[in-house]
Amino acid sequence: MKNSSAEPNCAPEHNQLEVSLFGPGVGECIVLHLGDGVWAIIDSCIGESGVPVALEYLQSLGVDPGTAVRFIIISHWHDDHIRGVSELVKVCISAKVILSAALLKKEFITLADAMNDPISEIDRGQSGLNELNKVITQLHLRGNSNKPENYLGKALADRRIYVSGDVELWTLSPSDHDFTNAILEFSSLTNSLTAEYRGVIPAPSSNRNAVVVWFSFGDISILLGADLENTPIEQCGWAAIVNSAGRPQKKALIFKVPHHGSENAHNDAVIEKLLNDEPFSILTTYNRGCSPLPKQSDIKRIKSYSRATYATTVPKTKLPKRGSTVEKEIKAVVTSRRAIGRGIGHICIRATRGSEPVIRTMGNASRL
Amino acid sequence: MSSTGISLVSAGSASPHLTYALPTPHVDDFDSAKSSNEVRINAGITVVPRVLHIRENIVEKIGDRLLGNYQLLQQWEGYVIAVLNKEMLCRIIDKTNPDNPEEEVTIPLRELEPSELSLVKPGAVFYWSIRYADQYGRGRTRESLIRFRRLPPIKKIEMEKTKRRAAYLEEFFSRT
Repeated sequence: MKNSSAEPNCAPEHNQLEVSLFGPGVGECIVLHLGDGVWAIIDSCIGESGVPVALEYLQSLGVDPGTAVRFIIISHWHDDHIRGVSELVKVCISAKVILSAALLKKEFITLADAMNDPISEIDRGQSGLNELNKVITQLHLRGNSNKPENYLGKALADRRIYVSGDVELWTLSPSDHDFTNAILEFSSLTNSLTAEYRGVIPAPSSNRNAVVVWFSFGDISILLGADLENTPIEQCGWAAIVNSAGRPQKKALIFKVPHHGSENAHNDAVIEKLLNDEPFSILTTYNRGCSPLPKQSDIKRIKSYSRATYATTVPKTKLPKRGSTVEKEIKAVVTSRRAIGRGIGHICIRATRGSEPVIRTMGNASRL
Repeated sequence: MSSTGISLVSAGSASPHLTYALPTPHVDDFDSAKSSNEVRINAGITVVPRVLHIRENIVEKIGDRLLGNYQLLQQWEGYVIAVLNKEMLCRIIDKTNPDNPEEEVTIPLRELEPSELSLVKPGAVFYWSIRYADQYGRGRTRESLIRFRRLPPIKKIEMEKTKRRAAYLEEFFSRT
């Protein structure tokens, strides 16, 4: 295993896999090379230029996203995983869009459509609803001139979505239980819209409808954990994946740690049954909310089972400078304050069959 | 910072005839005072209201001043992420300088007017302004004002329309 900070300036070889993880502090995007010039993108975040990082990156490698990207997987509907995804769908015209089956049910579409009238800037980023509504609209347009199987796929547990030789791509979640729970949650949120003053739909406190992806490339397997968390119910969350007989029964060498390393998403059985003895762990950070992630205790736990751990770390973004009068008043009012970072961290892993992966960290990413 | 209270000053360049001691007026107060502003208090004494601001030949009078004069220094739009113990964690966007990064701030609930407290819940949208307020008798004060958005709920008839469209799209996508 080698580490380097040099930015890749050319596309991987046809027989080489790539996993690139991008994170700006609040947001996540994964770009996968499945071999033979076929690419997949999981989730989306925006770079400093305002363009989806996946598009920027592929173009910098000389890859045409319009023809090379075959899959866009939307892991879940939270705004930190979805910014710019409608732009991806628009540009990557050959891509099949894979999203949780619950997001194509009328309960979610009603919610997204009802909130599709942003009053002001603050409404635009609300939990990814506006962005997903744009995606739904684009899918509808595509559906008028395409066979459904060419442009749309529904993510469910144990579903293989791509196979080419010894290369496979699977979705391992959501389970049937999580699918049903998600629909109930959407109905509840929709009911609140006709009863209360309209605000922003807050991000739900749990992530049980997220799409976990399994990527096999010859003898190398990769588990991409999205934001899936644990629940006490055996048929939900990580427990459902661990207990499933329908998933690939291999162990992963590379692990995208779920939900920014939070304790809620840690499951000992996953470490034992789905991962190699000492996997390479990669994760994005979450510099927002009451509890930014990962905590020091999370990092210690992840390092304890990993050969090496990498994170798209967040720089300590400076607070914007304002006039002294305003600053005085801010200090008089708030008890804590921090700026949300924008700098992107990039972890790039490339490997060929039978070889050790080469891991590079760029921008704000680093080894922990 | 400007002086406070009402000032009586002479009109134009004529000699001032003051009836009582006054706070020192600001030099700008004299510049464009016009005879139309004159208020005759008693014979031989001509006074005009003290002028606060003169812009494009528009002169504010005492009546305007009673309404107050505000100078917006900074404004954010934000929403509540979580309500903690007597505080709210909020995400704010700078409306004065949109190039600034978004921020997260914790604001004690005591900073809100009592009438706003019932609106505090996750997802509630608010506007936070910092401004100078010049008001008659109060001088200049610096104010922080947090006001929650009161946007009516979606009408049931609109929601029914949305549900019908959603049902159509679900059926459309179920062909896969």
